[in-house]
Amino acid sequence: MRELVLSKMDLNSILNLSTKDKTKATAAVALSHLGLPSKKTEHYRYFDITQLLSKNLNLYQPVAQKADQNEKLVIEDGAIASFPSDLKIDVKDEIDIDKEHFDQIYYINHIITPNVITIEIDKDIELEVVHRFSKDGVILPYRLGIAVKNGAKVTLYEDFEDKNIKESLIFYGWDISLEKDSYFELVRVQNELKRSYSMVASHFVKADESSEFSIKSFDIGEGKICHNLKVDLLKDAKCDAKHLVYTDKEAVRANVIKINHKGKNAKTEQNARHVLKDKSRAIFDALIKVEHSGIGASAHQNNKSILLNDKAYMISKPQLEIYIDELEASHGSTTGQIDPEEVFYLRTRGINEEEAKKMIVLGFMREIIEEVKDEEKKDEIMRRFEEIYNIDLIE
Amino acid sequence: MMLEIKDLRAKIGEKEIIKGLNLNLEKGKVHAIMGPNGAGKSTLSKTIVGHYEVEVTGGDILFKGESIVDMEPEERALKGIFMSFQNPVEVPGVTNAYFLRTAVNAKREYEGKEPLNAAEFLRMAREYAKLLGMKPEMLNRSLNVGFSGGEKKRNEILQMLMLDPDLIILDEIDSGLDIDALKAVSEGINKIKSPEKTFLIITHYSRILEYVKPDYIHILKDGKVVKTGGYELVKKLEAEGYKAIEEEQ
Repeated sequence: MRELVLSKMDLNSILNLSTKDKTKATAAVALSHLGLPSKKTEHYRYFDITQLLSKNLNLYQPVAQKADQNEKLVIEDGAIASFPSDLKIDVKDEIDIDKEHFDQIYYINHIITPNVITIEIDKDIELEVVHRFSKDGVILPYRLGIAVKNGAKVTLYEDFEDKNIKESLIFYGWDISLEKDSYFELVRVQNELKRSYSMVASHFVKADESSEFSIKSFDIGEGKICHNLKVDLLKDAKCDAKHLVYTDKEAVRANVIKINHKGKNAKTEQNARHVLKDKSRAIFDALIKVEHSGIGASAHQNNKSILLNDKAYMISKPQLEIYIDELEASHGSTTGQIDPEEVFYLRTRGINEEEAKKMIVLGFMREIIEEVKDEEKKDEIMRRFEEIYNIDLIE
Repeated sequence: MMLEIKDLRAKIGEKEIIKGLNLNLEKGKVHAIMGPNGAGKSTLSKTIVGHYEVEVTGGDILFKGESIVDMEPEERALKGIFMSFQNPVEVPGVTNAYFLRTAVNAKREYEGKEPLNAAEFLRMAREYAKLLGMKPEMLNRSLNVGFSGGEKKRNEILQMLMLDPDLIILDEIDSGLDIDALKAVSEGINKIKSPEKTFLIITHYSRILEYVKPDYIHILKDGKVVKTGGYELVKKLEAEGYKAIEEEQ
């Protein structure tokens, strides 16, 4: 392993890590236009990327290992550890990537990742993906690509496990390609309770004609984790994005999402809920951009946040950028304490103040959890939120 | 006596609204409070249930002989005081059934009883919901979220029936109700009436008092009870308005 301190490297030395293959060359060109991320980079303004990049860490490059067959796809330290037997999975040097991603780490990750785990799906399936981390003090870069073929319907449950590692920085992300009439639902739960690693995950979704991309992300607990997601919607494509974030202690959790309406009649529905405790910080930086070609668009986004402490800090930036005259659009954001009138109402029915507040906060979170269709998964996610909230609210 | 209010003074912010109010509510009786806008009717009900915005600056409120002014709202509720809200708040994500069961079992625990299990609770809740003309699926919806005005008021009465309180304060329970909803709500109120219960009905209109006959009418003006009488006071008010009462003072 070689030591890598990204903050000490200039653009050229990062570009020199790139090989000649097409993906890395494309990434290098795009990165050379964007430059390196800094404190002035708008989407990292509240995340302090420079502090993460200034750590003395060793570059760990995932090593292909003999993979077992299992009902779940397990990615261990960036390499396939097991996978379902009927899954078309491969490791490739080159994949098509986005040439206009807003995030520098998206390209850095592609440059320093040796190869990409790719999955091709041409039938209706549910897939569970578990990411496991066991390396201390490393930068671990890896990436996954998924191509959903015409008309296929896919639900992917994504989870993360770690062995209480220390000070590692993980770069990973999905490049998702949805062909015509396909449906892809990503249910991501990131339950980080020990602050053992930091992560910047940069994703790209290309949703072709009449396809639908649905993301339900659940961020729980501590850690310094940023997900940068860019979605391109072509004609009649849909994006349904739901986000629930519960942070505590000194967590910093960011969701930076840019959804581009490139084709006619595309639709976006985006709802986020944040609950922040202690000195934690959450960032919801979401832009829906309707381009000149995006006529007939429907774009709605909303974020509601509850601050449980005076020191919790919410940065909420829902934004619409619209280049056409007629469309259906709305956006809104509220941040505040628990509504005292709601608490009072419950107390007048004999429910004590603490229980009333817990009930209200869990109800607030439940609105997003209810969006998960699978009842077992829904209960599991609810249980994780209850555990950290230290209350049994199973009916 | 169910409730004794003695020379009560209360303010919200810097504004004194209740100004030396005296009122006794007898056990087993239906009391109605009427009065012009701004008389202090809703502040009085908020004071009895312990609203956080109301500061009691003088006097006392005794519930079954015990002072409650320093008690938390939940303690007052557990002791048997219930208020139906004029505008019940919406609590997203908390189902009506879960909320009701938690409230009912909090009271049962306070009274030293075993909690109701899910089946017992549902049987009881569905029975009362039917009485009030509520669809059973309303129990599974988020508390008051998307309920019409009438549905919210019926839901308040459902809570009252489930919690079986001793002192029941109905703050403008009749406002915004159509005639069918008013009849259903009145039926719920009459169902729970007994020699052990006391009602305090706060209203602008006489409509509800035709369905739930009051034993006493109290006229509130400028933070004080200025007149107490029987049902005939309602007729006088209807014919002559509050002005006539004021001129008698």
